Amino acid sequence: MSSPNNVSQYKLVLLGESAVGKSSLVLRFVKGQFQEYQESTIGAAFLTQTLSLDDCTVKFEIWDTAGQERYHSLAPMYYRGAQAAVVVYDVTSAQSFQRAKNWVKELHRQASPDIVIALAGNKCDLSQRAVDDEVVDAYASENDLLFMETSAKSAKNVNELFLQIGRCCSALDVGSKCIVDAHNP
Amino acid sequence: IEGAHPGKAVGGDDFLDVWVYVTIQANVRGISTCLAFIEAYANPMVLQGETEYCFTVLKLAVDYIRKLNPVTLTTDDRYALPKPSKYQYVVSGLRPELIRWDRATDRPDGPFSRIRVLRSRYLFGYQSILVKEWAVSPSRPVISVLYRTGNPQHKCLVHVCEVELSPLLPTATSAERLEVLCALLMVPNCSYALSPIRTHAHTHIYTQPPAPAGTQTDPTRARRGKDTQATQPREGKVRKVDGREKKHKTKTGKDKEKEKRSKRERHRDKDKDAREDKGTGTRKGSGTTPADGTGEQSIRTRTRGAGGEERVEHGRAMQRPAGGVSHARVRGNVGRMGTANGMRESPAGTTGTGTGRGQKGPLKNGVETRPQENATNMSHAQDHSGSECGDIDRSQMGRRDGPNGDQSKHGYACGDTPGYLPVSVSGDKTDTDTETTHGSEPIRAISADQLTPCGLHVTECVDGPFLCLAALGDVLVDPTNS
Repeated sequence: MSSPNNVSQYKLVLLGESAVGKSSLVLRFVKGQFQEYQESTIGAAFLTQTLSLDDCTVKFEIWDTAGQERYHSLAPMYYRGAQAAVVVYDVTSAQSFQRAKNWVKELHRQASPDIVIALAGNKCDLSQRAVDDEVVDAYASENDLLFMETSAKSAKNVNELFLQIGRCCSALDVGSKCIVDAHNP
Repeated sequence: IEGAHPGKAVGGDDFLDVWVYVTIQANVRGISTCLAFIEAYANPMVLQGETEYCFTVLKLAVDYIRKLNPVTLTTDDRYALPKPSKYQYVVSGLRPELIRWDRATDRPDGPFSRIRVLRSRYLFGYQSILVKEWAVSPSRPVISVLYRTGNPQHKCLVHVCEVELSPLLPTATSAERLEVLCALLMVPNCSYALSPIRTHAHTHIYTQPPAPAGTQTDPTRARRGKDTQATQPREGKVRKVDGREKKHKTKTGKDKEKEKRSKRERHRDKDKDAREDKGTGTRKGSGTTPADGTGEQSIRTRTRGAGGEERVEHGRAMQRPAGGVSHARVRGNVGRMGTANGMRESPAGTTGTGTGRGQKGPLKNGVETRPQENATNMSHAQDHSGSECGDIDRSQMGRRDGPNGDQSKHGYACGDTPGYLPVSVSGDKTDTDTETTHGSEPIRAISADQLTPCGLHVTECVDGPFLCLAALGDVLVDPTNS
């Protein structure tokens, strides 16, 4: 690791219906461009990735969650203490967007008030759309969300999304978890 | 999974499923307690990152398993069970329990929206003890355990409560209820205990088989028609309303008196018989019934650690809880458990409420307050005739001590359940003489090895629209009119 001034560590949860591509998204982000992929014993369920921003380094702990309906009531345990949440939906499925909206509502209600919420419309490389991006854009600005259409397959907007989140987080400094690098006290 | 689906990313979706499976298979004893302990005391620097994730997922899995029930497992509405909103529980009359229940209804997010006491009874041959159970929740320092001593002079107050599930909590299915139930009626691995046994589908309450119909020892678990909904036991084993209680309701005071007296006389005879049968002379004076208050007994203290605490809890007059369950009594039966080393007191005088009879208990814990009882739903407790005081089931005791021929009733509904979930909320810490619990034994083993030889049988299925009276098969006596 280069010797940055400080490293901010943020917990980021991925929420969304099952099979919208949460895991693929995070795998693309962690494996794709950045070299620092940490082999984990638990697959892609928990990954960390370090991003270099202009003035600081952000380390994401990415928690992939189970999107099945039957686990829905347990979700608060996942996003407790999270500084960022990425709500993923599938642009080819209107239902998944509906679920995403419910997630957003729930996060507003129950998660920490400083949480950075990003909405990601995944699988935007597919042609058969069911969710109009303008509608989503309006919804996102209304609810104060970051919004991007992404594609884990083509890597479109994936890194941009996480960079944006990193900037937002460090701007808010919601983590307040600035850890002085052990090598440079 | 990665091997099976090479191209697929293995993420949280798959991970939790696997973890649930592993948790079930691992069958860790006392896992809830462990998790609570770790959460409370682990170094927060350790519980970070991947460790934290794993820990959270384990908690999720345990939580999910605890909430498993037919409703959550069934996605198809056609097979979903109707969710009843009202349930009945037997609540021990110990003060902390009442307060706890009171709080459970006060909390807006609590599992219950309403709780009312249908009636109160003395449960003879049982004692209730308090067990420290700090680990599950800091707000719940103790749980009370009802266990069977077999001594007819032991008694403890129980309330039959009706709770209504909160409509705000559609997901408050069985977990909270089971938790409460387990806390109230823990599962000591002893042949005397009332044993609610949790499976992933139901909780079954095991109890001693009731006396055959027609004997004097009929349990008084008759329901008052207006109080309870139409609850039918699933298995036809549970006897229904016995008409006697209804009769009592219409009797005048004189009749009651008369009947009481005659019953006592009958009782005396029976008492003699019982003594001869048993060939023991533990009771002094053949004429003593518990209501007479003359019998003394040496105390066998079966609680070790809990005794001291009990003394503290109950050695003073009770204060009324803030609201909700306004019924609160402490009687000598509680104090008795705190008296170790063969101290003697009058156990029976405790039934003489309203007669001004003092307590001989060393801690004066017979002090009782029954504030505003009549203004509440507790009036049901009052209208029950005390004449059944004579019904202490001595004959039943004798029968129970012997080999039980009632094996035909041992059709365990849950014996067929394929899996037993190891989550034991309250079974880990008992200071009674029942060392271990059913904690994480396979359900089949429990059914076969422990319950059957004791002559226990399934009386009711609790987790469903069925009446739940843990005291089935025992004589519950109303203390108020004796």
